[in-house]
Amino acid sequence: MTELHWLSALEAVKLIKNKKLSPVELTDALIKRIDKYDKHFNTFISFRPEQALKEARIAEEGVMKGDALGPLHGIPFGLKDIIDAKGWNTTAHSALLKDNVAGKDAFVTGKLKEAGAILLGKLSTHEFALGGPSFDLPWPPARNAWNRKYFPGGSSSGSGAAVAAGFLPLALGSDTGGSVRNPASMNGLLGIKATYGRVSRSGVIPLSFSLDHVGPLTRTTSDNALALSIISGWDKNDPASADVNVPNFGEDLDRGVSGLKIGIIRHFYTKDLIACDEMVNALEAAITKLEKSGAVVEEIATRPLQDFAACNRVILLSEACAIHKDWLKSRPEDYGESLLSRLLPGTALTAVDYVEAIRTRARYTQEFNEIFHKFDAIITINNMEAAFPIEDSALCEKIYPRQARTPFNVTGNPALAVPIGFNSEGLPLSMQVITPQFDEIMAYRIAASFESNTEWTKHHPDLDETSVY
Amino acid sequence: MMEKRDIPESIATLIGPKKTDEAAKKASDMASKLDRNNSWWQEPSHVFRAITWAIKS
Repeated sequence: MTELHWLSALEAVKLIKNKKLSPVELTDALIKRIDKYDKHFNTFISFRPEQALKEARIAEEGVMKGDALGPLHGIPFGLKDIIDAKGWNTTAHSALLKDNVAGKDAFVTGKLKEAGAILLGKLSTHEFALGGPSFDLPWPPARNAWNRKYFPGGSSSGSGAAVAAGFLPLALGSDTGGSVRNPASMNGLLGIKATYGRVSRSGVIPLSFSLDHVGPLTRTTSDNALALSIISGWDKNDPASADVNVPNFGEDLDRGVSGLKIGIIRHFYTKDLIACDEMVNALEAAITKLEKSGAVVEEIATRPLQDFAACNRVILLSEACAIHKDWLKSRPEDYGESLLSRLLPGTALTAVDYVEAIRTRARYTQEFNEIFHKFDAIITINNMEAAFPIEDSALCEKIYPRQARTPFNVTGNPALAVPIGFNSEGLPLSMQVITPQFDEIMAYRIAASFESNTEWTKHHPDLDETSVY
Repeated sequence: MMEKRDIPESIATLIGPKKTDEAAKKASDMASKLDRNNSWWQEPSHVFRAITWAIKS
């Protein structure tokens, strides 16, 4: 049998339901792994092994008694530490909230618990899901599971590194300008930002109301589709929540891509920005693989990345400053340097800037949706480079913005990060699959076809090596 | 055209002139790069809809 820490959630739950694996055994194995290695990766802010084992024992009793079992019965999970869980601290990785205790579960936390999953811990993030990596906060930044000297992506840094390290099969992150897809990219994971409104954000500390999304990070496509199916759904407490049917997002995983029309946006990484050769080569190989599987591929053009980025920045910072205005005026010294320097420009933007940006956004979204009259999906790059050394702040400033994720926070389309290989240093590479609004099934269909024809998601870091670089 | 933006004085006094200047420059740059080529009838992406205007329970 696969080592317990590398079991996917679906594999583990099948073994649990067949009484071949106890939730206690699984939880205990993950706890031991976290105890042994997380001091090198800093993925957890809060970690409650005793509580998790107690819940695992209850889950085990449920199996033995023949209770009806949820789709994630006995499966440990983690939450980015901006997502509430009743009785747990929600710190946002910030001194400002280090003693903040959540009074109730976020909508998504409740959904995972209802499905039988067991919360094992709260995970590192960039402070308030913006800025970073930071070394001046109450907790250190998470590090890349494939090499601890490297950046794990952000802002859902701990979620990405913990899942890639085999500490958890599933974690939730949030994505306002790419913060699920970036750590997914840099840690070799699947990570989705579903359609805006698909997943409730109630109980999640906001960064930018109209751009925030919550999404799962997993090691396999099928786990990701399952997790999204569980956390989706209408919520009266999220004004943006969409009252639409929640399908089984994994229903087309075996359909293949034959006959699908896929548009490729190359100018994002060959003209608007220039990606590194290794990333481009891996992406082109992935596109060729999909073509050989029967997809009809055609290059398409949209407006340049910089237009989307400018629109995203004005909206994000205007909304973030509305949220942070009181602390910015009363306790600016309690923010980390990185977050403060990113937030401050937002205080100078005007109401007209913001309204212009959301008018522009409507126009861009309309333009983008028209592409899907002719195409089933779009593929483009995720990051222009693989992960970079986490302690090189100059390199971080230079490389962090070199990405193609913000367009889909602006338009609201589903965007799924999919692993496409490794660079010469053994660091993961990634592409994005973008689909029409509320058609996440198509994104998973394409990812599953690609996964079934490649070995990328079967590679895992050897933490005895990656923790001592 | 450069869109000059200024940090509010209440914040500028707390953070000092260096950070204020840097932030104002970044804000001006952001404001300048925004595509404002909207027709006068172009509405924002998130317009008020009465159906969403419900009191939270």
